[in-house]
Amino acid sequence: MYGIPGMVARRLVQLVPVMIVATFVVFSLVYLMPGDPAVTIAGDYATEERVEEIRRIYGFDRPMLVQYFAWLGNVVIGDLGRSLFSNESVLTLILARLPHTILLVVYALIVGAVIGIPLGILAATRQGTTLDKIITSVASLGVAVPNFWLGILLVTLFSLNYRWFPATGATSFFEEPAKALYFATLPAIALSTGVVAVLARQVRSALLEVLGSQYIRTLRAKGLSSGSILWKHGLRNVAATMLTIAGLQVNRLFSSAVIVEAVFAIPGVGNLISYSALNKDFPVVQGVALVLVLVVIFTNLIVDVLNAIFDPRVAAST
Amino acid sequence: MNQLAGATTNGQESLLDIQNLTLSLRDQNGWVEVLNNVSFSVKPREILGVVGESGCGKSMTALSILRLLPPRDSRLGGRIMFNGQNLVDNTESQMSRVRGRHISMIFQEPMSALDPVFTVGHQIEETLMRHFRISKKEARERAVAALDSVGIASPRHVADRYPMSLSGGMRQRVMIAMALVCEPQLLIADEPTTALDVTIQAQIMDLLLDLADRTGTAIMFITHNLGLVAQSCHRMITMYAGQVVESGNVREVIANPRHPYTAGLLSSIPDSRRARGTLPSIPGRVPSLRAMPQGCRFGPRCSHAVPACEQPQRIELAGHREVRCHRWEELQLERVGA
Amino acid sequence: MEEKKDVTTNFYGRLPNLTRRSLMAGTAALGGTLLVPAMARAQAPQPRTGGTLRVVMPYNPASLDPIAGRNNPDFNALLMLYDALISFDPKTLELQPMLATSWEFADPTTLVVKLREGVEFHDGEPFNADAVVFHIDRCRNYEKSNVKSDLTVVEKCEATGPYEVTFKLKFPDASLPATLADRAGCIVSPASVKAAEGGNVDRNPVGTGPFKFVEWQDNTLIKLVRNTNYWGDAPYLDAIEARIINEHNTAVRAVTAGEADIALNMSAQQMAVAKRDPNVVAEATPSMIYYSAFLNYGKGSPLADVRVRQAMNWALDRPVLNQVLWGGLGGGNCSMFPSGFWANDPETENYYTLDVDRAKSLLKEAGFANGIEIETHTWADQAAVQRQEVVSAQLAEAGIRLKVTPSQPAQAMQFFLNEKKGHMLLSPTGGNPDPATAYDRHFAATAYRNAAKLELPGYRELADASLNTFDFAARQQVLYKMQRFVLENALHLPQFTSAGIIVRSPKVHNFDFSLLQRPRFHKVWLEA
Repeated sequence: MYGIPGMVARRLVQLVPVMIVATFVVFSLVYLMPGDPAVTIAGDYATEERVEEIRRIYGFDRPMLVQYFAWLGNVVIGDLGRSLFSNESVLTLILARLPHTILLVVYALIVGAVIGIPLGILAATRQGTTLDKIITSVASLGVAVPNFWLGILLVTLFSLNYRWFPATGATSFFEEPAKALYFATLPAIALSTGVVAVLARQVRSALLEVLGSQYIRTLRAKGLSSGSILWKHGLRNVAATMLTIAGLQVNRLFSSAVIVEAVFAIPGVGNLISYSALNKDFPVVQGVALVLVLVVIFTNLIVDVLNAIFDPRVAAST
Repeated sequence: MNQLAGATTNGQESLLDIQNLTLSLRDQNGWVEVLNNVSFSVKPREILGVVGESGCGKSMTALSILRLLPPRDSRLGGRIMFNGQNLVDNTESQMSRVRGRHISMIFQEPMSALDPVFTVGHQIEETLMRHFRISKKEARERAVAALDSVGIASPRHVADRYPMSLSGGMRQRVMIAMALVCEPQLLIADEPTTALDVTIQAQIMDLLLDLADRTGTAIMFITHNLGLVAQSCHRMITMYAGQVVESGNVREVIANPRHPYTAGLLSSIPDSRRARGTLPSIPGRVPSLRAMPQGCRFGPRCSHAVPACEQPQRIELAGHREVRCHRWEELQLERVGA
Repeated sequence: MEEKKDVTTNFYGRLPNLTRRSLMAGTAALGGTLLVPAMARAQAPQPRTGGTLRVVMPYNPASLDPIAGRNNPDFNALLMLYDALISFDPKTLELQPMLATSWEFADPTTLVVKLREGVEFHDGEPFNADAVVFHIDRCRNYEKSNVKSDLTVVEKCEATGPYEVTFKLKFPDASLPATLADRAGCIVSPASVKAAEGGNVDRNPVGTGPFKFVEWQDNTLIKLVRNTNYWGDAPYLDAIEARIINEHNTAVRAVTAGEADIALNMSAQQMAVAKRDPNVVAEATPSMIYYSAFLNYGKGSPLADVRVRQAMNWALDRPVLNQVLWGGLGGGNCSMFPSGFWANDPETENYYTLDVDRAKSLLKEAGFANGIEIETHTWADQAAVQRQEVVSAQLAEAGIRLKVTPSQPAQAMQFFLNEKKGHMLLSPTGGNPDPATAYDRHFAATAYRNAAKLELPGYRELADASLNTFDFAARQQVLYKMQRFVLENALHLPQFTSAGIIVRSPKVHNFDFSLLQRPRFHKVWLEA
């Protein structure tokens, strides 16, 4: 796999401009958002002078670009700054909360894959039958179902009605893994519907394409059983597609996590960024954006590496 | 050129005996008959050429023999006798033991016929290990030997390569190696050289015939190229619109075609001796599957047609020949210089 | 309230209500619990000492330094940690002694406050006059202090005894004691301020309150533990864990699922949901917060004409607004105060009732026979949009069309008050302990919320009187007149008074959200 270390190195280099662009875009958006953090900090009963005073103290009166580069300069030396409101270190805040969100996302991805991939395989191997049509329609629904609605439904049924699962909260995976998974189960299921739907559909169409290819005919002509053709050759050929899609889902899951975290009162980064964005707590929003960009890029990198391992065509083109 | 070309192989038990094979396929408009009463046989070690225009049913016949058509949308009638068994009656599981082991098939498009995510060596080993109880190491050795036998240089290195890094010619060699590695009794080769460069075509043909001779494999060689058939086959059959219209010893058929269609095919071969003029071709077109004439299917295009041709034509025998034309004895058909 | 109540001349100058309760309190003060009928005591469940109260609330305090924060919900946590100089009765807002044992205007510009002895801060430092002086100075000078404007009336604050503090005022202000019941009066330990970097105690509060600070995970959890050294009766609860859950419905679910004991600051929607569950108790109590619209009646605005403003007020059907928008739990009238509040005049409480014809004829008189369009700002959240839609629909019946721009609260204020864009801002407001402050903060020429920065003729006399009348009954009359003045001149567009809504487990006892939604947890106890 001569190409892989090279690919990794190239990706790491690409990381820098991507992070700058992403954080700049986020910064601009938050900056342009209506609302003035000075007013928020100053409070309901503040006078105009007080608001001005706060603007001066925090440096909001400087031009946007200056503020952005000041922030960037600090990041380079590893200082993500402090929350405007709580004065807590942004890095500490994020590190405390990131594990909850990552657990949620990974759990949802696994649930989604465990349900979605078999459904896709089933639909592909039973193409045209009623079962296929059912799976395809359910898959379309899955994309349409709003996560928060499903979350509320799950909570009402399984937490309030049957006390099978907790309604709110999360615990640390590092300290109590079983308990953490228990708390994360309903949220992960609520979050996974999109993944199930997309994976089922894409696996189905990728597998259909593969099963319809010429080389499958050769394999049959060689005398391989249909099981062997499907599970060994078919899946290996769709592995690259599946991985790429799963990787893309990760991006989507992080944004949907915001909503699920609100419904289940999970103290993750989704909750952190939405609360901070509303308050225009710039340093926190920027910090989270930066970390999320990093996470997404690394996920994509892992997916690409796995792709290269599974599919020699990908390895050759890197 | 194969020295056995033209030699007869009479007096032996058939290896493959196809009797009144009928095939119907289903598309969105319903069922349609694609093969009608196809009958022919292949003797052990024989090279049989199957010629005809595109769409005449040659490939369908091949796929029917190996039962590679989708079961829900195909219906087979008649018998395909092989090694005492009627393949039409076989279950999928039974067929999978025949395929690749007793009857192999190679296809026209080598570029896309191999699984891109496994090495070529692995794919050959896979065939071996499917059909024989041997160790991985043993399979590996045999696979490398197979690659060597098809004339691939550095077979051990090539075995670790992926199909995409090989040329079309090399891929076809790999396909041949894979098809013959279990030493099948019959190899069905569906236009194996059509997609290759002309310069390579001859090499591949020679390789194929040579190997088949060594492993004792009969070949059913499907092609539209009469020239190749003339050079390499013992016997040939001509197919038209889903039916066999002529069969017999290659030399005899070519010297003395008995069916107007065969004659037409022969005269359509571009001949460098006929330097000038337009390329001769058979006027008219193959009738559509759903609008087959009741009588002779070639009738509408035949310059020798008479009213009696509107009756269904049966197979008539002429020595060791079969012809589907009731006028076979009377017609003097143009022949090509032997 | 079982709190010891000194029979003293509090500001209102009248004796505490001679209710059965206060009688009991009186006898208790005389050491006579034996006189309470045994029957009465046996029927009520006995308070239990122990347990951790699990609170959920939707708003994260900006700061646990009382003078650096800004939002009313901060008080949920603040009153666990701090005592104010002066407290208030949760139901009547009548001022009560707390860290101050008594207070008195020696003359209209001098307030003398006597302090309680034997009180210590959580860090062991003594509470005394020096501490109070330090605190008041900090309120006036600390760069992050949000209460500077509350204390502009103070010229000087000095210790005139080890347990006595005297305020010299620039002008008479009868509402100063109420201010000392608000943020400015919550005394922060001077030692903690001195020890903190930049004097910033946002995150590590030290007060004299019934509970001590343990931990604060921002926007997640605040942990407190019983102050065993409390100067008053020992708190019943061992500890309090306050979780911050931004989503209101999720907060209720936490209570329903048994994962929390009480959810604070809920809205009418949660009340409806919780009422269906027999295992939880949902309570709505009167509130000093009311929903209104600030009007810009300056020159050039269509609202400069009083008839237009009056027309708007006649066009609203307030009982319907209350029913639809607050589940009928608030007060559907045009008063700024809840019914029964001492400064609320029952005669003018319903000054405006629905009269679309009158509204139309007033508009016609003002020259808007074909109706009028008013540029309006409003908040952008779902509940605010709903309020705006209902109000718009009602006004439209009289030909008053609102052209609405939604934005975030702080931004809406910015547009309307600073940039003078638009003519009106729909907003909840109120929550001031003293009614005079309420008027001052909305209608005085310098008031932040007065977009036009105008005072109508007649206002100033009444406003001054409300501040320098010290006799309770007389003051009340002044405030009644002020209420009438505001309504006659239609200085704003009141819609309804709200209610404070909480959802709790039946095991929680003695909880009172209070008229200001500033609950004290001192005497709250939890059944096992």
